Amino acid sequence: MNTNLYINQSGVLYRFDPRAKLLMLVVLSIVLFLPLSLHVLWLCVVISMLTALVVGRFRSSLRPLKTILLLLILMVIFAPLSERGGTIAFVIYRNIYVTNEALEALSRLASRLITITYLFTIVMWTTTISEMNLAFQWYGLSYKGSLIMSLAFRFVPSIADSFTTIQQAFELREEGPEKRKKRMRDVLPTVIAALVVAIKSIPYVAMNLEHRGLGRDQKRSRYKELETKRSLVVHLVIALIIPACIAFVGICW
Amino acid sequence: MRVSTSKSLSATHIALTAVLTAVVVVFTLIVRVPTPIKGYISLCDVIIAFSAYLFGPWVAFVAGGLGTGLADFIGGYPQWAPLSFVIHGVQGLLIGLIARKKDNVGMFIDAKLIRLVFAGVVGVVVMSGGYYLAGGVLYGFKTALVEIPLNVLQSTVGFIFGIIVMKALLKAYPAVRLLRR
Repeated sequence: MNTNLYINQSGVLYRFDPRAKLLMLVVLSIVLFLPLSLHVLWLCVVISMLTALVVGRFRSSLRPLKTILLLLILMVIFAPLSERGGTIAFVIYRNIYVTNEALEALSRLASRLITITYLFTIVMWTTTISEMNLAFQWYGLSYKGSLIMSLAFRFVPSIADSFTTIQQAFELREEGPEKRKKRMRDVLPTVIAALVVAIKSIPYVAMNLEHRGLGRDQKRSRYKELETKRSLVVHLVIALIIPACIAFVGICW
Repeated sequence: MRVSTSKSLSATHIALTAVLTAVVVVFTLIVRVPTPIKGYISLCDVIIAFSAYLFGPWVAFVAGGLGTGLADFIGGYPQWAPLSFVIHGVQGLLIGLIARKKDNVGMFIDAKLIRLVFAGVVGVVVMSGGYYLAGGVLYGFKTALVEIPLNVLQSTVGFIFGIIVMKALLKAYPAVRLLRR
């Protein structure tokens, strides 16, 4: 089971500090909800898609769009219902019509959703999980919080493996498993068995944590820290200036 | 070197929360049950409800919130991760706060079925209401209405099977009671 979306490459975004990336992601997401002009919103869509194209190549760059395609289709279907008042843009059938205001609202929502989806995906593509964890720690996530996060990542593949093994063992006992439709009651024994296996491992994990010094004054293990260089300040300033420029241009345009 | 008992207890607590978080990730991404309308429901709510009933609100908050958030990251839906963290975290927290009952000495005892069901219903409201609000802000409130039935179905199945899984697990592995705090 793959637990990472990171694409191993080099470039400006990879050199950009993960703390600044997180800050920029949050601030940009907030800025996109300001009353920006539609031109600026669609410009953000184009820029984010081009960035994804550079980082993830053509095939990967379309993947985020695929994950929201159904939502975009639903948004188009529900467009006639969203804004009933205003100037009629075109009539679909008798009383079913789409107004200019509905089209504008649809355009605004779609551009915002696409940009946010791409921004989050680009950050995941260019930042490793450990960098992300350390950045969260820098922003105030506790040592124990980070430990839970990294331990969870460590256990995901092994729990997924044991679940698959248990599932296969149960399927071997079933009569013609390929013909039967999987139902909830068939999943339940597998779920309980997988849970027992996972829960049985807890005392051993706790024991290992204590061996590594958790609960002692002098810890035998500690997290490395992200370096605080002068470039961090520059990166943080850039992370604030770009969204501020987008907000300024978007509101004034 | 001094070893404090309260902190050595928290090692178990950290291990419990981390393992349950990983279980939530696995059950969100791998374990999916087909629905009659050709869709899928994930079983993350089963584990969130189960964690809340058995291990309390804070374990359910972290395991539910972090687990679904990480699953969104890994599964290719990172834009949903912060929202899932808040919605499923609060869902687990409220289920745990309502369902958990202490006796006179302060030890946790098994709550009555009606209490578990009420807590589960609150979880259903929080989960479907939370996703409706978040979806409404992101892609419009009319479009977000479409998701409500599936979310209600998923969280209802989640808390019902959460109760069943909890009862079955207590029978299959009674030592799990030792991990309750």
